[in-house]
Amino acid sequence: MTPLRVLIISVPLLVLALPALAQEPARATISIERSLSIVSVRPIQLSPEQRVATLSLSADIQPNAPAVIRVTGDPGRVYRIRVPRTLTSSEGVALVEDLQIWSENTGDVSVTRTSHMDLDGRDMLRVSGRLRPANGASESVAALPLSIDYE
Amino acid sequence: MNRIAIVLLIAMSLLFAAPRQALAQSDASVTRSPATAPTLGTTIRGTSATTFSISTAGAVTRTSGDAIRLTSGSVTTPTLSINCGLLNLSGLCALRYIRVTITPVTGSGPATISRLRVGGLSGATYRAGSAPTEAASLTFDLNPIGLLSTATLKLGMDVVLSANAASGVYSFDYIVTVQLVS
Repeated sequence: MTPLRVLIISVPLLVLALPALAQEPARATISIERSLSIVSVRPIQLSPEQRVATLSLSADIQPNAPAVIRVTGDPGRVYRIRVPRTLTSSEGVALVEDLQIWSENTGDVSVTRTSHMDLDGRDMLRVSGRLRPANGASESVAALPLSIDYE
Repeated sequence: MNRIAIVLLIAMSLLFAAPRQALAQSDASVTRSPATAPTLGTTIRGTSATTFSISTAGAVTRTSGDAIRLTSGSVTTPTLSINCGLLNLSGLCALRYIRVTITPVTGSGPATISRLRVGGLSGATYRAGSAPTEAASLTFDLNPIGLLSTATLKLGMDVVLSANAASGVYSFDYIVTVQLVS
């Protein structure tokens, strides 16, 4: 066998004997959050005599007490508060207007409606407003639809 | 003539004595698209370990645990493409079986891959006749892909999210290895 033939035969064999290898590192991701929760600590109380509830907090439930709401979530995260400007009865009659919101961590957020969790992932909200004479409403009770979401 | 042949033989011997890794990179190649996949998105952590199963088509199903994925939408699963360059001639790739190994990278994050599955193979056929059974890591052979083909396949997986995981964005990695075998 001539060297040329040896070469012709050996090259493919050599190539076949190589452990040709290629590697590709790849990546997948997931984003984890702590769930947001809202707990109503006490409801808003407004009386016809005292139509504006102050945002201050006292131990007793006064006739002009604000709603107190505890929220929890991811520590330090900014969140947005969604409440309507006006509370209406089931008949659609405005009961409370000009809702004011005060956050324990941020202060008055009536306009910005944005606050943040503390280092333990907590915040306390106080919600108040101005009582409107309930003309046409059979009962002067309304639910406060409040929701929060991470910014 | 004989001297020329001997010189050529010596030259070829030197060529194959070169570092194998450098040679290997030019023989077979595997790419995946998109660069990061699958992306499960925002998930509310659970109080128990949660498994999300991702099919090769991208459908996500929670099979255990109580974490909540905020979207029920599908994800884009990675597409792996395997070829050997021009006409698959490099390393006689067109004529050789291709061994594919997919292995999760064990990391310290709260999300890990517990199971892998492949599907949607095109441009090649399985040497065993069918797709491998899903497992924690996969090794399977493809028949020779010929001169003009690029083998592509889809990768699905089960992802385990640990209980009470800290908030943040986490990645979980896996490695795809392609090897030409005789």
